[in-house]
Amino acid sequence: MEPPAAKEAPSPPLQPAAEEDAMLSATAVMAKEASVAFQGRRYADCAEVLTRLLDMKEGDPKVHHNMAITKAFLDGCPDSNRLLKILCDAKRRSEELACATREQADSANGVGNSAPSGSRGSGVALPFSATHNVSTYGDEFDTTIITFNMAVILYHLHDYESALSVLDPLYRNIEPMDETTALHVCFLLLDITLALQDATKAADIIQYMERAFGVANITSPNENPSIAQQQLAQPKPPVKISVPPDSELNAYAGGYENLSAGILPDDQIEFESLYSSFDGHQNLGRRIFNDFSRASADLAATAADLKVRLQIYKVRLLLLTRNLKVAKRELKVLMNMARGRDSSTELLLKSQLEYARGNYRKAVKLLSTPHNRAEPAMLAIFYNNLGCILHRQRSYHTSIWCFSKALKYTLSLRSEKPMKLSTLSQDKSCLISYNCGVQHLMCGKPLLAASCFREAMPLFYKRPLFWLRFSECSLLALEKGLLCAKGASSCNDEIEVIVVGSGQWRQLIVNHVSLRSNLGCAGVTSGEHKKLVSLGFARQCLLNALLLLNATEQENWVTTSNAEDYIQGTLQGYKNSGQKNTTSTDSKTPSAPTLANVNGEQKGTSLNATLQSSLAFYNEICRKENLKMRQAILGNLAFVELCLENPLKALSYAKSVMQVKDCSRMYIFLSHVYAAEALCTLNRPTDAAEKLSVYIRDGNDIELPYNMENSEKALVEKDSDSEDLAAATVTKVATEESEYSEGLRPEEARGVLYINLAMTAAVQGKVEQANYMVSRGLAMLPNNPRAVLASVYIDLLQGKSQEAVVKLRHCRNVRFRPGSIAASS
Amino acid sequence: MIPVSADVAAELRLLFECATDSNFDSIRREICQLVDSGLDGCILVLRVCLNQVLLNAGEVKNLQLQLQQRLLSDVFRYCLRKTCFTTSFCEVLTTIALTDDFLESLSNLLELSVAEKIGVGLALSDSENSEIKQKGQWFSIAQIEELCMNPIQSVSNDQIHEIVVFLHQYDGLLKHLDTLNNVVSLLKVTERPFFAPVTNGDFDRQPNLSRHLDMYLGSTNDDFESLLSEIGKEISMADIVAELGYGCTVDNTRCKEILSIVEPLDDVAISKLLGAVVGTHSGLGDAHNRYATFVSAILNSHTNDSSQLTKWNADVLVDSINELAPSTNWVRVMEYLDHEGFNIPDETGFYLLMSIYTRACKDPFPLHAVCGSLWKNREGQISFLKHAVSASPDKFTFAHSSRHLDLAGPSQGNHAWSCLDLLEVLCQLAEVGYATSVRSMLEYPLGHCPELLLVGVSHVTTVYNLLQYEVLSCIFPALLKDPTKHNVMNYLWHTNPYVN
Repeated sequence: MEPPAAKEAPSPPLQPAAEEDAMLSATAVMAKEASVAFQGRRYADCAEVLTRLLDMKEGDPKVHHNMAITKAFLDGCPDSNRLLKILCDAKRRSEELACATREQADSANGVGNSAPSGSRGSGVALPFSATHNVSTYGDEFDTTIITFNMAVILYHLHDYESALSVLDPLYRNIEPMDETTALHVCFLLLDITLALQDATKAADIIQYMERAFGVANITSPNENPSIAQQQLAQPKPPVKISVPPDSELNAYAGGYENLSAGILPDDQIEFESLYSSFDGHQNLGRRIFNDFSRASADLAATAADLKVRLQIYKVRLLLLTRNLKVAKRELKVLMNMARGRDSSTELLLKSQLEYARGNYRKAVKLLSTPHNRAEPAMLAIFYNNLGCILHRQRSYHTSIWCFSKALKYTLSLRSEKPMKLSTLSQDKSCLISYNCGVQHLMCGKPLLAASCFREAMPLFYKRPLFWLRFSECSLLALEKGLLCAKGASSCNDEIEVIVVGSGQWRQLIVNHVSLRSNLGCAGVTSGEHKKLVSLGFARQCLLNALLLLNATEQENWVTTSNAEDYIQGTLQGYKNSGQKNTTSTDSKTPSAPTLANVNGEQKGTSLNATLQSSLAFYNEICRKENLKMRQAILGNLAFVELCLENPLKALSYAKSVMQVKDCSRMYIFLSHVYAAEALCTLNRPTDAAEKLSVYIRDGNDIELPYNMENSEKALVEKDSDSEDLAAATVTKVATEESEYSEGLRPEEARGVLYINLAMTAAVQGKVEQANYMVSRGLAMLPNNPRAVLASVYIDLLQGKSQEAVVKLRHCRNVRFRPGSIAASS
Repeated sequence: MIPVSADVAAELRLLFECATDSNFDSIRREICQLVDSGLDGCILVLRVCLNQVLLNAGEVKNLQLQLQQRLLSDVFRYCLRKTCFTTSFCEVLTTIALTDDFLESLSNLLELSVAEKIGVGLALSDSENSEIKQKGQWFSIAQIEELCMNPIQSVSNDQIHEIVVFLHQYDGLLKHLDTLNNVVSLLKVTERPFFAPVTNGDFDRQPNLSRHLDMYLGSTNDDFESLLSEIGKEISMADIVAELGYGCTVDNTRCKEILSIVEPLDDVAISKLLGAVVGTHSGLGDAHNRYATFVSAILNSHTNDSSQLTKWNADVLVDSINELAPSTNWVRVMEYLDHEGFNIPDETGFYLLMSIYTRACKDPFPLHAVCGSLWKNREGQISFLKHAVSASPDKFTFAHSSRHLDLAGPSQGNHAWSCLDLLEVLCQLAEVGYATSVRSMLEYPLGHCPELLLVGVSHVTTVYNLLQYEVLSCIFPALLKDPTKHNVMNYLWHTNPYVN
């Protein structure tokens, strides 16, 4: 145990010892008075007492803290920023005071006799962090409550990462804490970890709670008075009291947080955080009635209550890990336990379960209780959840309508000024915006999708998938012809043929430059859109996604190795996935995770075993999803770099796609085509031909680069993964006009290969081979303007201009224009 | 890629050398244009530019040389801002012998700022050549360190992003990230969204505690309000009805309930609605589940599974629309059929549309809406006309066309081939990629009323006259041989003597 580095030990004005006793009793009385007032919800009275107390104990961080909390309750905490700052200061001050006291003690006792009151924590196996040693220095300067309250505020601000980083040290040092506080810490931490979808950690906490609080033998209620008395001896009663109401906000957070996280393989889309959480919200309504009795009845939850609460979290965790069978069983247990109580949370969980199991009718029925339509916050969640169900039923436009309704309701909460913390906590606008964005992406509306993602950013900016989706807005805009890029094709591509002269002197000029949409760049005009829907921005998004993905994988690796008994090597090492990523984890040998017992059929197994197998199962899902994400990110990066005329980077990304373990054949194909295109741009057509020739079988024939199952498995919208092989300057060739979210059919992919190989052959002077290939390719892609142009080019190479004209006449994307002045191009 | 001829390089060199005060701007513009043309141009310019810089390095600085230096530096900066700089610069450097202090001296010669130097270093760190790559990395790191020490530089958001990504990619460089974060907080980040992912820092340690809060609260109500209204504008009744399926038209009450969830029900919306209905007249059987979901959740009532509709009830639809929007102008509705996604899948769809129109409006069908001009949605127009020309006269007729060709002879079915507007629009469609579809539509008149068709198309002039030639070459020979058809020849001569 090391003392914290005291940078500026300010030696606070401590009360002289003689006066202290008298002072103590006076302040204790006042503190008790404040405490009673606080408990009785008479915050004004409480504040008044505290003001007097502050006069006597100027600079006491605890009183400051209590004051801040009381004021927050008085006015609803419109300025949570300030409150956080006060708490932060109070915490620092406490630590400084603790430090100073110990220095005094040390100097009095002699340096050798250190570790005086630290003994309380001595039995704890968990490692201490240096800063939190301080908290072991007697209750006088204990910062536990302050820290906890900071985490509560951060949680309500939806800043789960920060909340976790604040609260986690407390959890690591939970043993010496009194039981009430420990419970609050655990429950809040559960809320946070579930919000962050950190199943491993959540399971850890649940298991700890079962062990430590022994759900069966809970603190007997008569223990509480002693705790209370103990507190009253300290001049900090409101501190303690402030805890229950605050944490109450989290108490019944059981709900729909993050329903169906992850990728739905058939949908090629995922809704993280689909159903939004119910944090707080019911409690707010209920707090007024409940809280009073509850807070006065006892500080800790009763045994039955605790059991129910823990069960709720267990079900939520099981839903998160998608172990639906066990979730159903445990939910049944929960329903039985909760008999006679307000069961709205349970009903919602049940609705979520049915949703996850695909019983949408049942889910809707459970969702449509009158309780869910009572107030704006509830309505927002109702419409959001309904939107999710409709999404699963492939009713994308109707679900947008639902999400927009949800957004409207959640925004109506904001009309209240100033925004109170409790309101902010209920604000689900980011989450709903994200859902709305994904839906717009599905419906092929990239600009709106980007605007939605822009608003969702505060909540999602740490998630790789979010950035991948954000980048897809730009790629979709490109495909829709709303953006222009050299070498990219859109579904609006047209071949412009200029007609010059008349009669027998009439000539046709094929205008290769205008191989782009007739919309031009007009589609993307407004400033914000320009920033959010552009290739440069897409690249940034993808890089963000890649960084975050690498980070999570490293993190996972650390946790896996820490909790080895849990998960057996569910994480596979990525060998420097081409990212020149020297930090990349060459991690453990990828051994298959134990997937047995995942569904927990056997009733005999303890829940813990089930939890662990669910975790292993879930981690395996996450690993697979990350793998898919990595392919998509790298593939898209290669494509974007090509569009940005940066073939060197495109080449290196394409190579990294090939290095991804278990890469789908679809992405292997794309990476080959991208690499070949990059090589062509770098003036290395021979290398390009070599890249593509892996698909050549028996002379000049090409095998299907992948089959239908591959392309279906290959994750997400393969929107606009169009590629483009630039060969001779006369024609830029290749690609499909892929239907959004349908991807390239294998036959079309083969056609693309034919055309691309034909072009490389043509550039190398092998006209005959080129001719054969291009005719095969054109047969497979009859409506592709680039294929037609390639064929026209080969015809012209061979001097067959008449055939070329016939092809142009029959092509559906040819547009004849009068050639007046424009013919110069 | 065509190899750039040596002449262009020589010309470029000359341009650099002959720069004077008076032509400075025009020369710079010309060179920049070459850079804009793409990767090849950029590579060429950079190559010449670097050669000139190195050539001039040892020379005495006279006035002319200074001017040239300024031009070179300007051009180099211009290239630096291009996305193709990375590839171009790496390509150029493969042909230049690199000394250890090359980058440093180059940037000094070009008088680059720290930010620009970082750009140069980062570009090289992507090279395929490991030696160049190493040099680029070292150079970047040195420059980033310098930037962190002197944060009074102007660095764009984009570049900060690049630096962050670079630092993340190399282990051991993350120590710079903290410094960089501080730098960033000193810099004026004018553009509000700052997109670099924040490092997972310890909360206590973060100096700027409220940053994330600002981020959260930063998105104001206005942003959301405008987003909401944008989303609202894009929500279309047609899409929703098509998703919910035939159940929507089960009876007037239900239909009106559903139609009124999206406002407003104006002519455009109705037109899109009809388009959706016509396009989905079959195959929506699986929509019942969605419909049940929607009805039970939103309308709070139950559906009867046994009474599943298998097609749209056009009468219910039209009556509901007329009740909700009594002032609907059905001619305008037909005009708006030219919208994205409109497509008539088959004859049944066409007759459904006609039955809707006749129930809604007593006037004859507004022909100008479908063959008055080329639609934006040509595919949709083709799909309409394809069925219109072969429709039975009691369902659809062209008889009331304003530009009706009066030619003696037996009246032809629904008078399609006497309608000049139709022929004109078909000729136009043939030239914008729909020749195949149009040809198949012309098969019937070619067989049954060739003269009428020939005379009709002779009234039409288009850019390429594609269809006219085809019709002519098909019919004209027979016409010449038949002495009874001289009146047709005569007519042709008078309408369009240029038909040849």
